[in-house]
Amino acid sequence: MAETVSCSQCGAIVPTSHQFCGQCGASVGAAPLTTGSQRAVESPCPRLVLIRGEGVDGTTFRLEGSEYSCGRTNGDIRFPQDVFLSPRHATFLHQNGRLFVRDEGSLNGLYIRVRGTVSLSPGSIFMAGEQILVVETADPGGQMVASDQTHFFASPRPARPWRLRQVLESGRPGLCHYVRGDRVSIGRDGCDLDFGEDRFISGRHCRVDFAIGAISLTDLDSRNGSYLRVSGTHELSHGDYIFLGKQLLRVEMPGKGKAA
Amino acid sequence: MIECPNCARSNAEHFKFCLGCGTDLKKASKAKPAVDVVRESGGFLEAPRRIRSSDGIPPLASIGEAPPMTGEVPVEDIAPAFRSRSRSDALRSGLVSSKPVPAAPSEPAKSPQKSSQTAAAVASEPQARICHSCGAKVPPSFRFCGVCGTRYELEAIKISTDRTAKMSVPRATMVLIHSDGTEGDRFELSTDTTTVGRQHRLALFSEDPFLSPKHASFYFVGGQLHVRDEASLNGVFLRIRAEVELAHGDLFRLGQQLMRFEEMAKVKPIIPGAGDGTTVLGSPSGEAWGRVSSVVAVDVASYAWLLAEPEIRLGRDRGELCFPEDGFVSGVHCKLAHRRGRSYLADTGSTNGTYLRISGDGVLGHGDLLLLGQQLFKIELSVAG
Repeated sequence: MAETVSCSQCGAIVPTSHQFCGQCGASVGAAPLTTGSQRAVESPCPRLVLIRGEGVDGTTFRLEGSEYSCGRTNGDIRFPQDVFLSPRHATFLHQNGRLFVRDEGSLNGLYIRVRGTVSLSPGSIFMAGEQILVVETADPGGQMVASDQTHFFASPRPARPWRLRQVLESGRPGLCHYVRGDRVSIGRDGCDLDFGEDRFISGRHCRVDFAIGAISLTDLDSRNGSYLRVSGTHELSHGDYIFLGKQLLRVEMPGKGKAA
Repeated sequence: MIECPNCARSNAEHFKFCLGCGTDLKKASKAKPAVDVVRESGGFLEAPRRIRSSDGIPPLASIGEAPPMTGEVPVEDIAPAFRSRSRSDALRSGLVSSKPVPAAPSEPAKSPQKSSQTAAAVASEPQARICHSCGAKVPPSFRFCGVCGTRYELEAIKISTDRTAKMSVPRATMVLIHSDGTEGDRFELSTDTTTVGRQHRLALFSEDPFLSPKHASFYFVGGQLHVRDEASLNGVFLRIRAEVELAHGDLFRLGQQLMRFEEMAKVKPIIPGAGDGTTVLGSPSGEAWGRVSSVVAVDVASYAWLLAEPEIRLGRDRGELCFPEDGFVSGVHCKLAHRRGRSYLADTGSTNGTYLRISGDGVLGHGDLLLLGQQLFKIELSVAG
């Protein structure tokens, strides 16, 4: 498979053997500042490819050293327009041919695209389309009898406390869906939980299965994928997709060719 | 007995809906087709003694569809629930029944339909007074309460004096609506302020654990009856007749559900920002103008929904927000609407009605229905003279 680079002007994919971008005619020799220049393409180092709208590859960041920090205002890789990134958000670590990403205590964290099925735990946060959902299993508790011994008149509690809670932009609470049975399908239409207005969610996007002590998230071959928020340091592998703020990056490891 | 497949409660054979959770027992058990379901529809206002559902819903205040032994079923069947079942079941039973406190089943003649015996005649006698000491019925011809011996001669004289002295003074009576839809105890409100609550001497109020010690006050201003919530825990809920405007934080009830409405613009973040100019990542709220949630404990919600369409219908199995487990919610029960920046709640002809918690003070009209604690009361207004 031929090596390719992204056009610095329009983001189109350009084979390394070409001098000019087939889409816009820009010279591909003039690579973006933060990316490796064409001459370095052959060197074996991990790359992060910024995915632009419509899934087009954008800027490629070559991680030639061992540490690359990333943030809105600080770091080697900066996205000053992205208000969802913390000033210093995450650090990529390249050690012995392995690539890791470390959350630097960012507000919004890092989301990694789910391959197949991953296990969740109470408090896990995932993204499907534009939706951010939190998995919760603990009984919400609450006071039923006041200090003067008056009983509180309330709705019946759901049979089980398993639920998905939506977080809205700015951290406001959104919907809260309780699971009937032991699984909940999520999508745009005909699922247990539908987000009809979300252009980025597939008809049937993903599914969360609940069992005592074992919760899992399965991506149902959605177009845009389901993403799980990870904490601490997380190892990345070839073809991984990672969200930082609103920036989506694809991980390419040396020797693996271009990810599909 | 039929064991409810949903909550395992035992129900009498002829029950259509579980007394514990409202599950449709006929449907659940796939038993013989429902008998004689098609009856005229009607609500408490029009036909309190013949509450029927056009869509097979048991009435909230209770179950007009348990015909042969209406008067007794709730008493016999709900009392054990209060003694032995879990708290939430007890709560549910309380709502199901909206009946007089089960702890006093021996009170004479709770239901006018109970029999044709003397006690029943006494109870259904519209002029019967309620003993202020023990809550028993006292026929007007009696000078002493038959249960506790309180003397009533003076009381009777006082009432007649009031009638002659204050022409056109409004009178108000709270009529208990039994779980079967029949009328029960009558409680006449004073022309001054009447405060009801668990501290009240009447068993009708004192034995309702869902009433605050001092729950609500009734009083007249300019000939109009007002009710004031005395900062009670559970509040005073008034059945809505026309569309009402909702304010942020309003509470309303349909079936067994206690719902809280929030204006989207006033919903507060629950995830704090970092203070460094970073915005918390989340789903876009899009066109959402409001949020409703189901309240399961003091300040604790379970389900929550975003309201994005201009009109959202709430119902048991139709509409945008469904409560399939609540047999007391009609197919389509009520709707929430948003027009020109304002939010509204309207009942859509439900069997059991939609109730809005009054905030602070409200004016009551003849025939208004109030949920107070776990009991349902109808307000009757008349002018003395």
